[in-house]
Amino acid sequence: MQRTFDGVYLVGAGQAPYAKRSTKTVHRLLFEAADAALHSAGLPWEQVDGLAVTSFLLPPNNVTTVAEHFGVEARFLFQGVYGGASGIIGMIHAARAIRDGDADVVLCIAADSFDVASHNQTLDHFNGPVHDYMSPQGFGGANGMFALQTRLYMEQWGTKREDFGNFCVSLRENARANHNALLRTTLTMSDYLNAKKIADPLRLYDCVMPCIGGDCIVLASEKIARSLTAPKIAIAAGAELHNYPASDIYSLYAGWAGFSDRLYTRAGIRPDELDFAQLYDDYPVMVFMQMEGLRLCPRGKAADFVRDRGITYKGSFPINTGGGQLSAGQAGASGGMIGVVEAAIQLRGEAGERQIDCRRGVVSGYGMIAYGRGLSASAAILERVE
Amino acid sequence: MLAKPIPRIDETSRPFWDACNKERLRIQRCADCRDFNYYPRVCCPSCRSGTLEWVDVSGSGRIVTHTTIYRTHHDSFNAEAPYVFAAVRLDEGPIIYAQILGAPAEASLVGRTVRAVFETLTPHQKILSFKLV
Repeated sequence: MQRTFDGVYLVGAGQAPYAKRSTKTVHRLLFEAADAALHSAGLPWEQVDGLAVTSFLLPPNNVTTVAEHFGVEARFLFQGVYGGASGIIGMIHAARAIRDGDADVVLCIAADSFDVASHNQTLDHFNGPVHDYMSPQGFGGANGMFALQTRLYMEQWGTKREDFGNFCVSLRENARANHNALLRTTLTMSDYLNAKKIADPLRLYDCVMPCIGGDCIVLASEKIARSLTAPKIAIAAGAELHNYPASDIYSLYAGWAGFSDRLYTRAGIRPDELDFAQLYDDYPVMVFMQMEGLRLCPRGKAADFVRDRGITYKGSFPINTGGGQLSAGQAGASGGMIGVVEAAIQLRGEAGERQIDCRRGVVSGYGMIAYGRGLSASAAILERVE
Repeated sequence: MLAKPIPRIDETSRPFWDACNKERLRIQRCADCRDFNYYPRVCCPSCRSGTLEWVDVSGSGRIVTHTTIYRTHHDSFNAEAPYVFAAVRLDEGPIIYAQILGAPAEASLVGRTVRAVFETLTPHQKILSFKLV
């Protein structure tokens, strides 16, 4: 069957090493991630003619000044304003540009340099609704906002802290096989349940650790990709949806439920044909909503799925095989790209100890938290070209 | 004492914040479809009418979901922590986020009735909170 992004390939992926502390600038992190991704593609910088960049700390610079900084003459530029949904949305926009002949090689890069204080500071000024109607009320940052979502989900479906714990403990097991994850000590259920209180029902290991890092993938046209020896990955389908449903902050399935039927139809792939998922794990409850919205399991059944299927790289349906943001760390906007990079590493067969047997998987993003929820959802299905 | 984060007040939101200073809860209602909305907007998010009226409402509502904040997002709240922060659905429909003053930490408060109260944010601005009824 014909697909939306036929003739566009994901040909490279790379990261700037994650760190708890670093003096590297955002430009340097973007460069290191891009350089690593180009190297994995076997492409020189000279062939890059497009950039999709997302970074919370980039202003007053922007994607155009990044092009200047890197000396790239660009036919396509995109800057993500959708928070953690931006990485995948940038990839989708870049794929359209390549498909339509407007670019041949596009770097989709995200990077940031955060600690807890700078993360809170950025969030405080994130947008009007947060700045004017959440922050002065003492909302507790993203932790407070998602504590509210978590309690509602628990009340709705009878979910227990242990259910979220199963997810977080499994991710840590995945992270232990990923040298670029920052949290690699064993996490037990007892550690999880008794961790420091943050915003009830959330405790420390429900929350990501702000950190420093960058992630990048390379998209190329058929003409360019044909000349490469690197494995080729197709974007079988991609979708974005914002402010959905507009009239309900607490729908508990967000944008993914609004586009997942179209996503699978366009890909010609059913959810049960996927080999893995790399989901946006800012908080475990959002992963549960993604699993349900993306129809990996029925509504309200995410906890059962995690427990019964096993989501580590040894399980029957691996999720966030690199440890996710919850164990790798959240390098700001890079959180929206880390899952795409991990998907590419898995599909290229480069995951080493945590390698799974896979041909296709779903990646998803989520972001731009505003009045009580994140407004932007995105997802794509990636498939290795045999 | 460290200053609290303060809202930017403009033409769109001034009637709400001025009413807070008079200890009244005033929100927008669409002149066309009659839906109430919060936070203040330039058009009705239900029907896109550009004609919105300001209406004093009862300040009564129910807790939809809540949390006890232990780790604050801004040091100016540290002295108050732990405190209860909640989504309150007003009787008129919209959801408002605010603290529930005097509420017990980590109790189950979903569905509890609350009423609006007003606290000092700065010497020039009061801010909406709620108390359990």
